[in-house]
Amino acid sequence: MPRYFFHLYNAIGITRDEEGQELPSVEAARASAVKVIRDILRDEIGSGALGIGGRVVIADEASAIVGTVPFGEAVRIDSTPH
Amino acid sequence: MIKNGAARADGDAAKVNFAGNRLLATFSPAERALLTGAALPVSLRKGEILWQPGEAIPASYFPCAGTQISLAVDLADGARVDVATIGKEGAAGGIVSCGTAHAFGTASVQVGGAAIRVDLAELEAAKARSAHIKSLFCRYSDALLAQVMQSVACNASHALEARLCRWLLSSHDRAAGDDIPVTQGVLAEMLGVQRTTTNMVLKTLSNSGAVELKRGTIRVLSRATLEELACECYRVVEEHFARVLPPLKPQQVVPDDEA
Ligand SMILES: [Zn+2]
Repeated sequence: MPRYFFHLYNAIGITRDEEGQELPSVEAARASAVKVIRDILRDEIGSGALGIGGRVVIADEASAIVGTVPFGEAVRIDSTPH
Repeated sequence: MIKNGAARADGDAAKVNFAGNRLLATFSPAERALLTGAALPVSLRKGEILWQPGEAIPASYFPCAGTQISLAVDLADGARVDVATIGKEGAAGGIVSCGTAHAFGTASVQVGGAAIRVDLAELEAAKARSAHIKSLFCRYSDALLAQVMQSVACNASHALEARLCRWLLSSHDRAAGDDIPVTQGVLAEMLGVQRTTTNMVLKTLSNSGAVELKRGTIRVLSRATLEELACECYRVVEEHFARVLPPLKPQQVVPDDEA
């Protein structure tokens, strides 16, 4: 299985992933990035803040970027007035 | 996955270092004699699964030195959530059930190292013959339940950073020095989040000078910072342990190599 690395860009700076994780495909890696973003947002919202400007950059073993998931893509925000 | 419920015996029963575990350290020579042949020094490997749900638990494991065992619940979606981490202050296996134990959760080795394995039937027999042993395990059951109760509340309500600091403080207490040998993967599992999420929290702790990150190791640089950032759960559980378990002289629990 290929190994993917998840580099996180958000308000605290860049958090590089040195270990990586074996996953079957780029699609699985994107799904994993979405989980990362939801983890972070879930935790943040508990303290009353929400930084939606970050992104997770997915790299393969050759350090080539195979995908980018912006935080905004991991959640659907509905601001319709009710 | 490494799977070996029996673990490997390191040496003979005569060389069991009772002083390496806080519970066993309180046994008198006569009480230690009750466990002759039943208590064996073992070496637990990181990642080793001691038992899984539904299995009969053959023995109690008493961690020594920096060894830590995690009790966790596996959810249907594949997530594993840690409910208690047990080090040299306690024991895992058949504690609350008093010997007739079919495992409810999964016990795995979070930090490898020395432990003492005691056959469950023999431990029950020793409880029947010693008022101290019986009372000690009743009180420890209470302390363990308190730890699990606090974990439930902590997992439900406290922020990742606070929970991670809580875990680092308990692990630091159990570790021989300032280095905690733990991978980001294990930490992520313990917190019930993705590995990258754990990395992010560790990075903020490292930026604030609380810890230094090395591959497979977290070095505690400022305990005071961790105490400031941790939720109250660390302190509350510590205080309950101190109230419920017998007082321990500072030198009573000694590292294996000094025994
Ligand atoms: Zn807490």
